[in-house]
Amino acid sequence: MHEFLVFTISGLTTAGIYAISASGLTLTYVTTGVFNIAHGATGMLAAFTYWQLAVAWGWPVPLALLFCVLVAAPLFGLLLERVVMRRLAGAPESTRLVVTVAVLVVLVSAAQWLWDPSTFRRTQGLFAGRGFEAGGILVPYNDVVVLGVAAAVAGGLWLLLHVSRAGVAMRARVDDPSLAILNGARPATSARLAWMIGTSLAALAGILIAPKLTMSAIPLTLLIVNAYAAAVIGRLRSLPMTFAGALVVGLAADYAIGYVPKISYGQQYLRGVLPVIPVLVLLVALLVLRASRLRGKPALAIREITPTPTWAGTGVFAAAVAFGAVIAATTLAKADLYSSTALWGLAIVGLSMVPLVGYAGRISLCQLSFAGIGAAVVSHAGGGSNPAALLAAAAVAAIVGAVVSLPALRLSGIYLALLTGAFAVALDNWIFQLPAFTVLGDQFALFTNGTLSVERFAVGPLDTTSDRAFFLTGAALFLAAVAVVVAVRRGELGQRLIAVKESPAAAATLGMNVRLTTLAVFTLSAALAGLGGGVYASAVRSTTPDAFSFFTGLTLLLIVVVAGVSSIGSGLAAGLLLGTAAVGSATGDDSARVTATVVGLAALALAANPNGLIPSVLRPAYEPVRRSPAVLAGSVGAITALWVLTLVDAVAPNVLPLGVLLVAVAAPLVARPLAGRAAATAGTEPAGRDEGLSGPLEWLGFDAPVGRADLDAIDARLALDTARLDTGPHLASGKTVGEARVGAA
Amino acid sequence: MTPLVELRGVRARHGRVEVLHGVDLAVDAGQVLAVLGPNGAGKTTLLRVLAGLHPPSGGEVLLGGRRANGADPVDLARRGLCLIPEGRGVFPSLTVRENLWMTTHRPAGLSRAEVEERAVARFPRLGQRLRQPAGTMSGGEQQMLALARALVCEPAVLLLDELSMGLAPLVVAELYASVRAIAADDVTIVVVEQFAAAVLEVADTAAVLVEGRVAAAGPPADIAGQLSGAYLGGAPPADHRPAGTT
Amino acid sequence: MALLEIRDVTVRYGGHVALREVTLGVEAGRVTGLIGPNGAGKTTLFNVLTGLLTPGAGRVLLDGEDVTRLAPYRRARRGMARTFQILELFGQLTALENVALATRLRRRTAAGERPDPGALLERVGLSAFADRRADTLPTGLGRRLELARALAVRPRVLLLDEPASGQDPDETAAFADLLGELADEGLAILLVEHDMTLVMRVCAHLYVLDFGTLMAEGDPASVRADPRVREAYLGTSTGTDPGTGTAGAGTLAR
Repeated sequence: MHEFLVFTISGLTTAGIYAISASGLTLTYVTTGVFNIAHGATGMLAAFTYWQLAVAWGWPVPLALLFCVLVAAPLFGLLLERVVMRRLAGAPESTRLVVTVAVLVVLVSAAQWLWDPSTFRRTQGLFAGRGFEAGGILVPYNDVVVLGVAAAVAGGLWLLLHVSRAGVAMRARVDDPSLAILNGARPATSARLAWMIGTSLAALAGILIAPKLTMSAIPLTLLIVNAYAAAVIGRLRSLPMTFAGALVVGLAADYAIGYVPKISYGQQYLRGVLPVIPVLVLLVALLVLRASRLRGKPALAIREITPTPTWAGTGVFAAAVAFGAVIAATTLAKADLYSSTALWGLAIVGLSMVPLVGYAGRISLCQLSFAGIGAAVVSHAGGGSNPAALLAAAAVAAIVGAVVSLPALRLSGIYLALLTGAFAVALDNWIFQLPAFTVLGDQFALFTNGTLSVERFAVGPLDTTSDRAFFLTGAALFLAAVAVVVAVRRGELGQRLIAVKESPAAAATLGMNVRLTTLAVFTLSAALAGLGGGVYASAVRSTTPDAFSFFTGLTLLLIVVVAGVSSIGSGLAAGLLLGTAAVGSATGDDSARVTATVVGLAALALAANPNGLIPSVLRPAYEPVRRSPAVLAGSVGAITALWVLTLVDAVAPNVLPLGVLLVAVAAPLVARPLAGRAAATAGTEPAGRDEGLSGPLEWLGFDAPVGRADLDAIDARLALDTARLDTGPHLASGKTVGEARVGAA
Repeated sequence: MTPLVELRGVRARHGRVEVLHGVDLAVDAGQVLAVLGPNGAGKTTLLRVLAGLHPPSGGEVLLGGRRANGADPVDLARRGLCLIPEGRGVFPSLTVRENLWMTTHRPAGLSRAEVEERAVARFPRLGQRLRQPAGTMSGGEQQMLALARALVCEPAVLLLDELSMGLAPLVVAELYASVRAIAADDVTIVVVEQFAAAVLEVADTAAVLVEGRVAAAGPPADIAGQLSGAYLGGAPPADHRPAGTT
Repeated sequence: MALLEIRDVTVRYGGHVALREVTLGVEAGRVTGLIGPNGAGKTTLFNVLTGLLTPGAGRVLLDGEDVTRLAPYRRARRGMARTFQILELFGQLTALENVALATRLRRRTAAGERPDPGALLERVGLSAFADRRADTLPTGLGRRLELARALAVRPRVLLLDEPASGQDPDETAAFADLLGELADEGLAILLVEHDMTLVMRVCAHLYVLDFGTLMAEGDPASVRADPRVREAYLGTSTGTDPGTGTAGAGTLAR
């Protein structure tokens, strides 16, 4: 009984902290429509700032606390709103989620730059752990204060939302944004206030929870999962229910800490379950949540451009990849080649996001975790260098993927993102740390002793043991995966995915089982990720769970999205940035952190261009090259010549990379005027242009504003009498799109 | 005398489609202008242009003689230009009381108690429902609340969009009785409506908007005769109130 | 017997009653009209019929089978298709792909062969736009594409939500002819429309929805002559105030 009370008190304290965090998350989500994945990272940053002030610089505790929560955090919230979040109005939900992931990655990287992770830090609870006795139990003052603060936050939020005009205006904005404007409530004010308060609450929670853990950026950031669980119980809407949810999560976590070690059976497997309790609560909460209504097309301010890949274009891409792979395999130094073999596995994992995130518009935060599962399977099954192990990796990952996505299929996209995030964290903290276990007499070792060793496979005469052979095989496997994805996009499934993304309501009323389609794509992409993980593990031969961590997975997601998540080239970009010697050697040991920081910062710009770099920058730049045979042949010829010269040692080894770079820059510059001249001499517009329009119809308005002449041309072509057009649907949709513009105006 | 609200050759477009092709209208202070017209004529757009929610693509919007093209809708609202949009101009999940509080931004700010008092004085029925979420009231009560909210802040200009939408005739009659009372307090009103009969009794002047142009303007009595042509295009009148807009 | 029926359907949004004990039937081989002012609950009724919204009370029957609890896609596979008041096209796909995808969505075991997507586009006059991305089509053409897409699943019941808005009079006339043809082919069509000329021309039977309540039904002539309809639409005589009765408990408070 005594013990029970102790755990209850500690559980209530934890619950109070989660409630503070979760209410901030819910407040910003409800008011601004942005679910802030970086909420926990904000709290982490606050905890570090607090440590710096109170411990390193010796500020008095109350001063440091108040400064962090009431000055630094609101200012940071303001900055976030001004620089990042404001531009997200009218962006697709997936973009909004990814941008907050980018904020998370940037904040974690920033914290790691500022506070060297190898130094041990700790903050103390308030009142240095002192407390008072009540009924034979020591009650820390800290816990009393935390509970008091949580209650004050609850009361304060209620007063804000129901009594203050600013708070009433925030709720009014949720109901009807344009009507709120008509009543003189500035939309930006509500958003700003929400971000300031939300950030303050995140900071408060981060500082209060820090003494329970060591000061380390990633664990503190991942506490957000606990807040997710509470927020989901509150259906991302209701603050009272969110507080109740926090109570469940907090108590469950602390009772688990108290009682799970007492279970005598299977202790070595259960030890890791403790940090995962909130994830399990989240899972249960998702299962009991009522299905979301099928929605129609969201009103977006940005149109997505995802040209369907053609087989011809894919062939060019494949040829370029194969050519590049052969050159790299034959010219790279041994050490560089070894450290670049990881490229292809990661590229396949990156590619696995294309159907799911790109075509179907669903976010998964656990693709790299599926890769980890794939790696474990290959390690287990590939003992005899059996290539079938790769297929087994894909199959097992697919099954796990299907099971993971099941609870979220009924729900809107945001829940799938939360669930996958929680799953990745559970894998990180628990499953990947498990000791070996035996199922049906077969012993499975996951990351035994923290590493996983894998043998490269051999099929008949093809032995991939050498780095060169494996590098080329990896390229071939990547191209096979590309073929699968292109086939999917060009086939019925691809159209189904796009239909579901564009309008779930229309898809369902035409007879499509939307859940089954989502399940199919999730399974497919999990399978590809599992394959990628297997290829990756075979490449590096010995790997640790860190390689498949949640955080690395987020970086991978960001690279793919920045590159253009609907373009197959984005997977390659992920592989090149995360898995090659090029990046590693350029930046030394900090390479991962550099990559994460740069990619995170780049992803913040997504709000402005959610289509990504490949479709909006690279493709237009290289299109003339593809159309100009002379330039194309010249480029290939120049690179081939350099390659041959390098092979026969006629030139220094670093001439080739420089030459390739030069050709890559020069070819578009040369091809563009050529393409223009060819079009002029032929007396026709370049292909892809539309008669009378300043550009291809589908692209009109992207590069330059739509001109009067374009409008007239379109009207004339459609034989439209513009005056007669009904304006109804425009008005109806304008209501939602318009508000953002009005707010910005 | 300068009209309080004036449109000179105002054009507006939705994307690539122009929906107002040069509209000229003027309302003197304290007058009621009724803008009538069939579905899709551009009436709602006209009001949105006036309220600053929709930037005009041409022409001039003058408020009190000053050019107000592209003015910030929030500024306009705070200076006393009040639009009650079509549908229900209330926040459904806020209580009646909170809906009323939303108006307390006016510089001549009233206390919350005063706001409630005035609203209840005008619409006694709201008095019993102050703690009720607005979305749970009937359509007529919601429109009353919207009107009440617009009135307690003593607007200089009131823009009403389809007050009658989805409401029973009796309720509409009651609402327009309120509009008449408001007009008597020297509030300038522009009211957009398809329900011609009720609004013509209240209006000082009327204009008919057809396909983005002013087809006719003048005293209500003159306009009434020209309406069926604009609305029905020769269809038998009995089957047809051009119901609902967008 | 009506192919599609709803019986005593009630829908509440919070305390607001969007539909109150509505009962109506849509028979095969003719066009049934549903009219009423905006906010009367017409689109809500469509959402209930297609399963996007589950009613608080009442039943939906398709060919005598109770489909009230059935998912939207299952209803579609039983032969129900609709268009949307606010266009819900698959914008990234071409017009032809929109229709072609729909032809494949009907369960493969369904009797008969798949309709030809090109022929369907032809039928609604969109052949020239087959390869255009759907989100580049103007509203009027988009509505016709939605119709073609709905026909692609070979429905027995077709629900059309304001299909004529955004179309000019000539297009509307052509559209009326098409509706007539479709009805003659045996389709049960429920039409929500503001264009009364069209409604009066094509509908064999009319329902009038006002304030979530069915206030009148019958053939167009009798509906037109119904004094209650005249009153609701023109406000010529006094009547009861259905508006005051709808206040309910504060279920929005959560």
